[in-house]
Amino acid sequence: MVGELKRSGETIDSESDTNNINNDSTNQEKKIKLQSKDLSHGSQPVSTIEIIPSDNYRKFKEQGFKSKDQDIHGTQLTSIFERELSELEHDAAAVNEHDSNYSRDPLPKDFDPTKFDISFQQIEAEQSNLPGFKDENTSSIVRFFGVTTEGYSVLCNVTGFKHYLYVPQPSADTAQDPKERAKFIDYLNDTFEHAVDSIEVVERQSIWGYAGDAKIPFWKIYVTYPSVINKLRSAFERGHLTFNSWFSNGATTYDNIAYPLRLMVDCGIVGMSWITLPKSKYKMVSGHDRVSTAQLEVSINFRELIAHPAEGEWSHSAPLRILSFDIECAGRIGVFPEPEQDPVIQIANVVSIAGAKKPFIRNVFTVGSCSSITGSQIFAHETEEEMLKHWKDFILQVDPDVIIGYNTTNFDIPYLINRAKALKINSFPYFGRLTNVKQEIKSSVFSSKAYGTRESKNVNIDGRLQLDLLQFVQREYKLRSYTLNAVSAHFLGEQKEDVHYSIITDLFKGDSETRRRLAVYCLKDAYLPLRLLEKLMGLVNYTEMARVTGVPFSYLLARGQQIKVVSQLFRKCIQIDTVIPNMSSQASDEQYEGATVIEPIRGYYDVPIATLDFNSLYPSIMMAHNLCYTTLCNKATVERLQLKKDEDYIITPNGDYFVTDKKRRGILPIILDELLSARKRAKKDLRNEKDPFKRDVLNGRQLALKISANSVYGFTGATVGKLPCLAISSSVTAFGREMIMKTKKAVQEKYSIKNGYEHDSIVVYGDTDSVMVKFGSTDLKKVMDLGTEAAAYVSTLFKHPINLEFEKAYFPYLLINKKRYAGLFWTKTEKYDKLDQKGLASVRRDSCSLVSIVMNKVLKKILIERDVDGAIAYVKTVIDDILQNRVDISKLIISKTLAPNYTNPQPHAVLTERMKKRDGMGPNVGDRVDYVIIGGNGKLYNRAEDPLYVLEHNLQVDSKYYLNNQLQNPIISIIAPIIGDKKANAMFIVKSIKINTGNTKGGLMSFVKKVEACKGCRAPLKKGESTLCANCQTRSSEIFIKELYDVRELEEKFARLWTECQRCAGNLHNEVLCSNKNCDIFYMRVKVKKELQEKVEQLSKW
Amino acid sequence: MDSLLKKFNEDREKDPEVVSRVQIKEEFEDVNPFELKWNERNYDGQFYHIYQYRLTTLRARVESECQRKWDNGFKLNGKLVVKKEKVLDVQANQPCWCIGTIYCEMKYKPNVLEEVINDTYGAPDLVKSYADPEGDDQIMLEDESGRLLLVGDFIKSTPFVTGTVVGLLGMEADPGTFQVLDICYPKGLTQPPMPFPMSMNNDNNGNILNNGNDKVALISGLNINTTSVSTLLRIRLLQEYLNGSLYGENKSISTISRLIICGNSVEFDIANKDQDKLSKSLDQFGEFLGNILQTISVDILPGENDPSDRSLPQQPLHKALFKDSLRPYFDNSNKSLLNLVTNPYKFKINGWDLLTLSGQSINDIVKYVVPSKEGKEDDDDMDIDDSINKEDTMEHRLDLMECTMKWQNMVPTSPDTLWCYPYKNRDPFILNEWPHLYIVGNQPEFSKRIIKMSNDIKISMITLPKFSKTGQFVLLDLKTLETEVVTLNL
Repeated sequence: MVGELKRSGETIDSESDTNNINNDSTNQEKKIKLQSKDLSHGSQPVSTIEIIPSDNYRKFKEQGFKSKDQDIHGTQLTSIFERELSELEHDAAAVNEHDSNYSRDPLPKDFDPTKFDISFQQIEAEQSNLPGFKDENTSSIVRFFGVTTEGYSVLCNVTGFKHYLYVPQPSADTAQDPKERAKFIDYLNDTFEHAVDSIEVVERQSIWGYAGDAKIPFWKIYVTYPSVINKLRSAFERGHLTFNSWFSNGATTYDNIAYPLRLMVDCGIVGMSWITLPKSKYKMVSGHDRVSTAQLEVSINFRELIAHPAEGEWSHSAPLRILSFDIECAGRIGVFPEPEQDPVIQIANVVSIAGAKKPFIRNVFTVGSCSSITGSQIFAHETEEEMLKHWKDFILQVDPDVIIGYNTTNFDIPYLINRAKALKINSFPYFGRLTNVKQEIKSSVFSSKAYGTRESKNVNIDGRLQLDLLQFVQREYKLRSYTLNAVSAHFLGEQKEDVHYSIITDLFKGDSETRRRLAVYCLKDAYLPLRLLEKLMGLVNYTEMARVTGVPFSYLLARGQQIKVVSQLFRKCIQIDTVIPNMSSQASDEQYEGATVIEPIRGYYDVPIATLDFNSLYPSIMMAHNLCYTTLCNKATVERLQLKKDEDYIITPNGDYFVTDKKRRGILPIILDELLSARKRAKKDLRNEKDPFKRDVLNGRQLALKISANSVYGFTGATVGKLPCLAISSSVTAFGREMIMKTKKAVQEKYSIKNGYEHDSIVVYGDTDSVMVKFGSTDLKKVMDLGTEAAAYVSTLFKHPINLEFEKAYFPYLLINKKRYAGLFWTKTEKYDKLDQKGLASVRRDSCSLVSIVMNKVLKKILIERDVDGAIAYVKTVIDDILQNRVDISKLIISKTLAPNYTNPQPHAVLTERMKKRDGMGPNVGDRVDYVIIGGNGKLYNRAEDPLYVLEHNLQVDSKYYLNNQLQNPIISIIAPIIGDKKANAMFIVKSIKINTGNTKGGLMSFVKKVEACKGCRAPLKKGESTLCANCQTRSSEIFIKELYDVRELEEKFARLWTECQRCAGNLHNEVLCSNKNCDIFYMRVKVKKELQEKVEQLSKW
Repeated sequence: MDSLLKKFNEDREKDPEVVSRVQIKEEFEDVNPFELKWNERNYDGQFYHIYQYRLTTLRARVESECQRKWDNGFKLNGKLVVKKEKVLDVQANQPCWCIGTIYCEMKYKPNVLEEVINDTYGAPDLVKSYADPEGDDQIMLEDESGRLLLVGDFIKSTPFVTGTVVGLLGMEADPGTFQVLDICYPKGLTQPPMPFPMSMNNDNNGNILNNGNDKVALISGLNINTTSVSTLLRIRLLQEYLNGSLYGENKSISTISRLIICGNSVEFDIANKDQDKLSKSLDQFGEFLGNILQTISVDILPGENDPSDRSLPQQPLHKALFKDSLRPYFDNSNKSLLNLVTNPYKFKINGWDLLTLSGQSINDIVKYVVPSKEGKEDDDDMDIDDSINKEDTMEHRLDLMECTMKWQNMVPTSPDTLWCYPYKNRDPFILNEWPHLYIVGNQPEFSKRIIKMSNDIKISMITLPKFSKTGQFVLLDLKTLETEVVTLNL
């Protein structure tokens, strides 16, 4: 199913998402990017991220101060002891370290199905069947896994539900004859394995098009085996049925949806919602019929269960058990671990109850002895087999509802399964909730315009949700790097020691102490995903999204965007007796015009610029103009039904016909209205809520509602989608274009000198749903007032609920180009909110970090400090630093991912080959390759070099490349609007370059005889002279001071860098093994070590 | 004319009599543990070596003390107290003691990573304190196995800084945390024999050379700066005083046998990068030395701002810093006249052990313990019950000096926040015996305290004020260890 995603559909979706997210981005601390065509726009460059203080531990009020009691050694001892001991609390620690009973609480002894309802939150739904069992003539069931409020695990078999599809009733008279229908059913059963149960005649309307209000008869065809439905559908559509020529020419079928989702829609069950099984209505599954490890395994007919909307008392979450784990493998030298060869040596587990402050399980499974770790349990094993079996038993005992980790989907879980297979542990891959279902690895390819092509592995762990934090972050955020280190640094403000996989083996082969160190690493790697999940509210937000859109939780990561809109569409249609046609998915070349960008008037504006935005532009257009599948009509229908223009129907700017809500209210406007109304309620509740966790839930809900509303437009424009309707999407954008031009005209007309205003207003820029207006006044308060007034005035020109709003003012504002600008962001006159930028090169991933550093600093100087001269002076110093080789190499590193093959030579690919020849090993496909461009005359792709190699061999970086190819264009683009193109370009015209001879080897330098040089004037020293020639002896102190202070500076730098690394490593007594090349000081510390040693040697000659 | 001449001769004062200075016996050790030759340095190592060595060395001392104090059937709440070999061996519901290195995770510690990320590396360091006024700093006990977070009221009342090795008694509270009930310091050290009764200063003929007071002058923070008139005047006054040219106090000046300069002789702001200014200051300092060396012997320690290493131990000021006229003094044979030493340095004068530091260590420890007041208006809200002395007073600094003696580490915060050389298998800052005098320079004020350590050992602690600010220096009587503060007012 994953492979069914449509590329261009995602494109449209992405575009809509981008626009609306940009529109509302100011309301969020972190931008959540669902899908975006221009992914680079909204993200923040790594180098400007402000580190968030960590709350890794609970805080204590403590300071180290001298006590007034001088003598603690004897007399004061008992009183302090008694007082402190009475305050000690050790139950939590004891439970954590000694208690091995992690099982769920047992069911009450007096539990009785005839006396107790079961209410549980269902977390997963899957289709299955019970052989030898029939309820309403079907053995198909939907299994819901869940948890009760008390924490009991539940497996609920929902029985009796038959899948169905719709076909229009044939026009022949014989079709209305029940006997003929009975014969037809027999015919179908002969053809389709006796799977057809019955045909029900119902009155329905198709969602597609307006043709009056009449409902027509449809056949609702029930089947007993859901798997048959696709064949049945194809037979109808292709005209393969020969009974009475009823469907011989083919027929459109209606309502194509998966069986579990069908049941959920019909029963009103949304993802992650609560279900109540009334007492006496459900049956306990007993004894040998049980198939799961659930405490409550029950069956109920689908008509008997009570589905609760996720509102009020049913909006809470069950105490879900979240397991985060990490494995360590012992790889061979230079080889990434393979399950057939390399053992799993440690597994760390951290288990927490959703919403709890702290995990209640922290343990590590190890092969070989391991010393204890405070606050954690160590399970040492003699063999790997023993450990894997014990871990599987642990999983079954703990019974997690959610399994998380970092890259667990593609690495940890498949590795464990394949490793157990290699070791022939046949009992291992049975850690799901269904005892007889084996865990198997399936590969799939997920492809979309937003994410590119990703190969993914799926493992069926029945009844347990899987949430891979790597996939979650990749899907929701745009970052420079997705290593656990980089992500933790970004979101949690913490660096983590990054130990190379080759060192893992050495630590493992040491003793119990080195294995303890490895276990601490492993525990950290297991704990971080849990903290990321909390910080990013992954579970909360996805839960609310599942509830809003109605899809199961697992669909959110595994499926695309369309299924969410499909689910909402089906839920609305079932309420109004509407059926959805199964449109054939045909790729179309038909395009329509997108959004408008008003041509920018480039420049640097030292006056406030007001931004006016349309609230939820595309949803509001669809609601205002009643654009929907159900309201779409054409000229013929208008004439046939004698409709009046602008009263009964409208014609959109691009010529499409839609009836007004006087005739029929469209389903999409109804859905949007409900989503946006619910969002208003959620935001209102959010303001009133005091409980932090409930606030998180409400925020997740309002976010899910907003994202869902924004994705409806894109759904209609997905030409390779479920229900494409270009008439809707192109009309929406046409209205949008019309509106933005109308807004521009209205503002410029009204706010002009001839109307009594001090200045003529100018719309300097506009993009899709916003305009940026220069009113002319230099007073920020006045401009804000004018902006508010103008927005209110323009809103009156448009139909409800279209609304234009003054959102913010930029002051000052630097407008560079379309979709590229920067400005100081104001919503209050007292102080600016932030520095806002869009589309600038600082976020480009193929540039070195120096570019983003310089750009951010220049923008700050220009926009915050209003110091243009200072910015130019700063750029000049940077240019000097580059030319004189004073820039730290860390800032010059370019990083790219190594792909399988390239048609043209690529710098990082050529470098990888060279590294493999040189060292025997190098990056693998998929790894990021760090490189710098060194000097020389060769081709660019031959001058990429490993930064460590450059430091080791004192190679010269190519200053001209970094100046002209990396830095010049971005800097000029932001400086030229202020000082002019000529002056900006002049800054980059290089007059001279200082060549550092250094210790470079090779070439002509090989023939040069090395002699000692005077430290002052570099003239060759004569015999007997030690460090200075005769002429320089007179100013020896001056020269010595310079040398000494170079050493002084490097001593401080060395000490600061390596002490920071020592702190970051988390232990002062162990060697720093970190090899995190993404760390900003990694290359700095390598370089300073070398430089200091050299400088000290020079100084020893005095 | 003759009568005029005769009258002049009658009115003329007698030439001052030549007075000899008291001679003291200063022994110059063959081995200075703080010496680091440039060509013998190796920066391949990391800082974990020094922590390992420190823990290994001091752990043995702490352990014997802990066993004396807490072992042999010691019980808490009816439970037997057990010893833990490693920090991560601590288990729940077990009163226990273990030994480790203290590590302080503090909000305002210098963080080069953050500075590089925010591109502020190289900006002046304006941090007055590392401590978080909100009290959210974390103190941990650490060894090779891992870390334990320390909690409890005991933590608030006892000084904890990074790098100290102590034994702690307590119990695991929350998983991964340790509630501290008591602390144990390393076992007491010995002290070199005191010169009491003092051997009389004799010459080879058995004659008593001097029966008066033998003194040394201790000074720090000259901060010579050629642009500051007041500093130059103070230096000129000091020079005159030392040469006996002030107030005619020749006799008392003659009892000052040596001058020990404890750091920060020249003022240089590295941010200025004005090398010429430093050269002029050094020339001025050289002139000052040249003048006083004609009458008094000098020992010089480098200070934080002096042209020497940035990291500890600082090496002696190099001869290349001074003019040729001073070159003869730099000969090794003239150590008795001009002795350029390291920081820290241990003198042995008349049998006394003087441990001298120029002040970076105490100044850094203060940053761990005293929160900054900046931005905190509501100081009145602080708990009155706090027995903590959160002010930066001299009493408090003396407390911290006393702590360094207890910790047996003169510079515990190296290398974490006070930069030092990455030693491999030694730590010269560990004390192997207690000194008689413990002198720290460049402190806000003069202060003195005699502390009593275990085994009835006494240590005299002296803080030296900054001369440039106070005009004060200290005369130490080598017979009675009495101190006298001399103030040169402008």
